Amino acid sequence: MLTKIRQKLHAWAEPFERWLPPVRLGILLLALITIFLLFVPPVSGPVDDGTYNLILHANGLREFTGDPNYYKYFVPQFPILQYYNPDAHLYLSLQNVLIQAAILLNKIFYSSKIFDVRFLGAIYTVLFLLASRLLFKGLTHRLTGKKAYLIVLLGVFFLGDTTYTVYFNSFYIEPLDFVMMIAFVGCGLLAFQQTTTRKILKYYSGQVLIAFLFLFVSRQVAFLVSALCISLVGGIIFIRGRQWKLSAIILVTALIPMSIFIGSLYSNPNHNQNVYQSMTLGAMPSTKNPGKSLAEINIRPQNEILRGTSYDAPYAIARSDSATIQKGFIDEINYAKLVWYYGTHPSTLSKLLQTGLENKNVARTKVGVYEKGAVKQGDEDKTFFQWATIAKGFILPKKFGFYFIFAILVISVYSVSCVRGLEMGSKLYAARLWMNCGLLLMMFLAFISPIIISGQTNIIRQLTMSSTLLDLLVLIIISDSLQHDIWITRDTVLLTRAGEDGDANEE
Amino acid sequence: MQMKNKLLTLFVIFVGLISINWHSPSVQAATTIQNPSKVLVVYDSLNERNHRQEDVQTLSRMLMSMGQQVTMMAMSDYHAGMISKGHYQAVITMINWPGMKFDNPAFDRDRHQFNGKKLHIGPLMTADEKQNFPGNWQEINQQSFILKGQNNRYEQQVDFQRQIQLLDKVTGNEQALSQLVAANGTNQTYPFGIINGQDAYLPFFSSKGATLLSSIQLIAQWLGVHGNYVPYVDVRDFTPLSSFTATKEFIKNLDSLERNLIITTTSTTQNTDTKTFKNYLKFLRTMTRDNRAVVYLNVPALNGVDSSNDDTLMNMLTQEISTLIENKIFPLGISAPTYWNFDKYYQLNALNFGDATLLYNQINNQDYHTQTSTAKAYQTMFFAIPHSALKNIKWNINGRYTDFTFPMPVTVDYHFPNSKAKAEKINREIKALPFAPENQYLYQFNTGISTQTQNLRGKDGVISLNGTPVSEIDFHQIKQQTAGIRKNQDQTGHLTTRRIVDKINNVLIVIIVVTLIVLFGMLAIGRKLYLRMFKNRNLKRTKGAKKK
Repeated sequence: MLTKIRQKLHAWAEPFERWLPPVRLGILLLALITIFLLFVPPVSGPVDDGTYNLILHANGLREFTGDPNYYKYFVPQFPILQYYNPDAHLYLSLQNVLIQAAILLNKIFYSSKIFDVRFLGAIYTVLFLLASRLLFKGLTHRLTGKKAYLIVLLGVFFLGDTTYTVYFNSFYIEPLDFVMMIAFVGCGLLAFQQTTTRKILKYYSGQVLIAFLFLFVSRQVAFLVSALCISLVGGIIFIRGRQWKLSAIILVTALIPMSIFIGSLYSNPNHNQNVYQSMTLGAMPSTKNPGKSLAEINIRPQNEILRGTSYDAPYAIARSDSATIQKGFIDEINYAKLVWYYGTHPSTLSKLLQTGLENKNVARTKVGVYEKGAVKQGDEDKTFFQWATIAKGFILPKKFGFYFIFAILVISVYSVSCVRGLEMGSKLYAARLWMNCGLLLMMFLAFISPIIISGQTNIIRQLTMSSTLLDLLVLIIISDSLQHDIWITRDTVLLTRAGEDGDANEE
Repeated sequence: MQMKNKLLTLFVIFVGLISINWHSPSVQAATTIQNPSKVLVVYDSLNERNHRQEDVQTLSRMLMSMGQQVTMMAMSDYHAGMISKGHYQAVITMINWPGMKFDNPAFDRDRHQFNGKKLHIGPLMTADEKQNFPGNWQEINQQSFILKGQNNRYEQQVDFQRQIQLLDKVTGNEQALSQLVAANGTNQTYPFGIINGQDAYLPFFSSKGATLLSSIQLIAQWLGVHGNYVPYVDVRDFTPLSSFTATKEFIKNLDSLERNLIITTTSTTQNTDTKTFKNYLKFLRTMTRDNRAVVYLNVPALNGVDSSNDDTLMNMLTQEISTLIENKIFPLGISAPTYWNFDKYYQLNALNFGDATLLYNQINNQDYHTQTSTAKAYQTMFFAIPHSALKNIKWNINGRYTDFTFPMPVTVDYHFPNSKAKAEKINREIKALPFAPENQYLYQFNTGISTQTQNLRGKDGVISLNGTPVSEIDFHQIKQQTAGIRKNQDQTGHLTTRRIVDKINNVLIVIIVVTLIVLFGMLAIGRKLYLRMFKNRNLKRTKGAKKK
């Protein structure tokens, strides 16, 4: 009886594997989920939290005015400005390029008066599927059969999570960060699994290109590219051939000052708000005696009365743009003082990170995911395929120390494999170590910097990058352990060595 | 059966008693004047370029302080029939931008037919308006004047007038209070403003100087508002963010002023446990010690408008008042920007707390919630004159103080100092005011604020809370009670599941750390063992096999 069932399953398995290899299956599933979420009515998307303005106007769009509920639910349509647009200083940003492409598509296929944000969602989805294909290929490169399907399904589970993909129908930069990060890691994994130098270079240059493009996404990520360069060092180690190694070294070292330079070029319209809230929602709530803490960093201690207030709270003691606040508080803050303060009071920083952590893993994109005309209320969320986030919310500990331990674990395990690999003559594992270290550093910085820079403003959105990286690292670790790449032995090492000494087909 | 009937009748009576509304009418109604006199002000334009919005706001505040219910409207918004529909007792026409010659024939017609009081401010008087005044109208160009107040109590040179229409003299029963004297040497005198029965005329209006004083007198006389108020002094906007060094200096000089000050303060409901807030309360208590100053609660500043219709604002103010009372600070009025009184939501949720208000001009950043064109008339409204508006007036006084009085409650308005030097300056300026020091606020006025549970009143020299003089109340007890309530609320908020999960997290971390230690330990031991394999033996095939 059982054998008959087994036979039937085997009969099914063969064509299944031929028509739907793991990667294709993964992409199909992701496509299905994402398309259902973003395009099938009722359509989902995040709500404008007040920051759409600049991006809309710079691209020749505007919000529908006169709707009092605009900020309460997802609005998919935006009028295209027909006449003179005074704000049309289209600054060079990758997001703007994509938005313009979406507007073009919109004008061809839909209308030249109203822009439907689903065109942008479509572009993001296509990019997302391409990046995921790279990632899945990288993860399943040496896996076959059930293990490959397992890892792909895990990938779909983590990355297809609608907490991430719901942002595709929006003007936030999170979806771009998300997709590019996936592509970056995918290229990295693939680069180290190739046998010929040419192919290695193909994927590695893809990685470098993505790191470079990151500079043009947003201010926050531009600064983080310097952390990303650590990942790229892995590739430098792995590449053979003097000229390639040299050019890679030059490119990567050039990226670091570029990242700082271009990052500082970005204008920061929310500067005052960020500075204000970095104190009122950041440093001050985490101490018992905010007045004393303020006095320690030469800020008027009376400003402690502003603890917990946000810059645009409707009712306040004094208007945020009044001299009392601007000169008496905001002008006295600078990030150097803040960093010094966190440095000398690490417990406050950990308390702050704690709160950020609680928000990161537990909160889902709750507000206004539905359109107005939908059956349910505008404020409800779709828990459709958010199971990964929910699971993470339960499983992952809420102490920040856990992540330190996680990092130590990853580094130590990969260091061991790196050393063993070097003993056996393989540089692959060293490269892998560097890449994972870079990702870990990115994860930490992507988590800490928005908290320090802007307190707890918009924290859920800004921590997307950090949780994406966590997901990717977990996927890498699982895939490596399935491939027996974590604790390497002579047998597994042999598989990769074939391509290394004596690249017979080097071009 | 009989028992049943009895019970039934009792029951019916009981239900009947319950359904009668025993509650007295809400306290809210008592804050505004019952059946106030209604005034309609129609202005041609705000003329922002020449800063005439100040004048329009000042005029509205002035009328409110005179107990009038003011409706302000631009000429372009006027539709036929509005005067009769609104049942106004008085109509004011204000021309701010004569060059544009704004006109509304419907308004002209309705005003002509109107039988009540009429006032025209500014140039461009229509023919029918001029007819109300006997005498010759003269058009005078390019002339400077000195404005002399009634009985020559004060005088000031007024701004150069390009073109002005004046009656050459007063004939018959008209009243003229102030005089305009030509400054070209001829000393030709004209009446500044004239009243003839129901009709009146003001050649120009200003929110500053002698013009303001004379305008107040004329308008009050025209409306039939009489009073003899000597101005008080108000110091506006003491907040927890005000410089405490300046505050200390300011308090030092309070007694020497020998006046009752009205101090307005913006409080907060957040961070009330901080040292700053406690110091803020301490300063307020010191300032109001022995009732040498009276506190008015200022409405919160707005960063944009909160368009929801909920009770946030009302609850915030209720809590602020409650906190202040607990700490022995007794606000007796509400202070707000003028535009709040032209907003239904703010009227209901903020200004209604008190029957005494103090409004001040605010031209920029007006965040209306539900704008309306009719303001409410509160029982006691102080007309705040910025101290800079009284500069350069020449007072002709016998002795130290002038005997000029205002027909409605007035304050000279200062902003709370933000530095020690400014505090000293305020002190000097207040001492130099030409008005006799007033220190009988609690006897002269009957003012107070009330929330749903607390009713503060300052009357006959005593401040009372819910009927009991505050000197007889034990605030320590009240504070302990509210502290107790707050403590209980805190404790019920914790989730017990959170604590369990936290403990599990700690356990997990410990397990992982121990595992790591053991792992590394084993690695070290294993390596030692592995190397020992090669230490004492000769090199064998094992090593060679590895090299492949």
